[in-house]
Amino acid sequence: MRALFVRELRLASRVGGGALTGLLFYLAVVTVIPFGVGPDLKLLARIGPAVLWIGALLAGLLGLERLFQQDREDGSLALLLTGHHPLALVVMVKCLAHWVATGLPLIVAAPVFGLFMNMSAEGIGAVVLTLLAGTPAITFIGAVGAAVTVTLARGGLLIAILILPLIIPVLIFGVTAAYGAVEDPAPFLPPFLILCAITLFFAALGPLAAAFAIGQSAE
Amino acid sequence: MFGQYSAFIIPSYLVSAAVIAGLVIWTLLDHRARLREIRELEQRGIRRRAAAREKTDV
Amino acid sequence: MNDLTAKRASLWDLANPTRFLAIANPVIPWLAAITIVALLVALWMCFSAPEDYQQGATVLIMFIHVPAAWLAMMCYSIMSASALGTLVWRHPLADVSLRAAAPIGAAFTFLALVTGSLWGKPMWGTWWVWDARLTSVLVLFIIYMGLIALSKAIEEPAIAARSLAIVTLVGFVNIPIIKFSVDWWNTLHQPASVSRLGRPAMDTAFLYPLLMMALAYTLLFVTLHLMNMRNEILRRRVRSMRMMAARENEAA
Repeated sequence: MRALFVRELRLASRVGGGALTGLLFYLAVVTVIPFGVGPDLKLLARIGPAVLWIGALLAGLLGLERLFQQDREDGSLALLLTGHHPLALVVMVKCLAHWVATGLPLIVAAPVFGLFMNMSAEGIGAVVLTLLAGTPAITFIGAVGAAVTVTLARGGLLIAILILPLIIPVLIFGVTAAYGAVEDPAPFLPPFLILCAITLFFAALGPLAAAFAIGQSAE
Repeated sequence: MFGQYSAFIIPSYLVSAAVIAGLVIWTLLDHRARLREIRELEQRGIRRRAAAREKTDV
Repeated sequence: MNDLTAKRASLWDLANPTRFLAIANPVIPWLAAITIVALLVALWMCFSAPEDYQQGATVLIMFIHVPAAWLAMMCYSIMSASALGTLVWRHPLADVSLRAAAPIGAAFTFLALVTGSLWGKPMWGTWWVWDARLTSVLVLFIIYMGLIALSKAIEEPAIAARSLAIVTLVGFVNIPIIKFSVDWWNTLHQPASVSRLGRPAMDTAFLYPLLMMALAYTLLFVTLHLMNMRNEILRRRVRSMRMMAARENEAA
């Protein structure tokens, strides 16, 4: 399993810089927002957490297509299918590796983008923390979309359509918790804990459903 | 006819009627097209496996 | 495919969809007739209902809005049950049912949104509020459209069937979470006032027309669903006949 994890990480960091593309996309999204809403620093600070979250969400969706496609093309998916590890576990490890390779860089970059949005140090810290807790959920539930569309040549957009409505809870609780840390009357802990719960739930549901989908389509 | 709200009531009924009618018409047209395809294929002497079995089994 | 599975598959083909057609074909005209009668009765009941003291004549919109919203949800439940049928029993009709229901569900969800919007404008003074209920229905609409897009995207029928079933079920599991989170989000942001106006307890003068319309809509759904399933079965026949033709051409 650790070997698989390392292999996945190496692949993800090698293949055309998938992580870098996601990061650049994130940067582009965050940069475009002020042009849309105007350079009012107060307003930017207010919508900052939401912008950072939406950007991370979109960038996360962008990379999902690659989760299984590569493996299918070079045949290693079939190899994993016949291996003696349970498929759900394999998918879980792949998701974790994918998240470390593409999700973590986004989170590391988020503080810099937070400065662009004129956010306070507290706010940035809260956004980073919620992203850390929430973005794995995107990968886990996205794995289902990636598994279902793995046979399609261009499944990327379809994954986004299928996954976006399912991801709404993560966005809601992520942003609410981030605001909760900055604005006074709003609570931080309850939404944050619910966010963690959702992530854990998706961590259980996503790999199982994705493994099932892959097993079925391979028959 | 429905007082001040007719501008909202009439469109909502019209939209519902249009969508439902559209759905029904689409379904009927679809049905006709499929039947025509099957007839064409049968005329070319092509038979489903199941239909062929029905013939030969009995 | 080896001989045994081929034989079994063809037996399934013969047994279920054919029997389904044998039952559905004579039933559909009758169902359609009953649906039309029910719709006419329901319409008559709706238009002869008194005006609501609070909503005025706009209660007329409620009569077609509520059943549409109700069917939007019922349709997704039926699709989820069909998805279970596909995954657990591999029943060929289950996938037919799922596919046939998706566009109907999307259409009713769309109607629920549009009529709700048309009711909201005079009652709330705005076409759209990010109210918990409206938002959930909008999300449901997106899920429906995603499923339709997926069903069109995958060519191979067996893979498409299972993929659709899995996504439908994952969506089904998620809907309560989405509903809950939208509720939460809404109570944080709600400027209040709007939701309370929503639905006062209903008088029987409105309840009966509403129930009648709901019944008519349900009948309409059943009829359309059966008709769509029939089309889907025929579509598969055409497909398998085309493949037979191609195979014969190759052999010749």
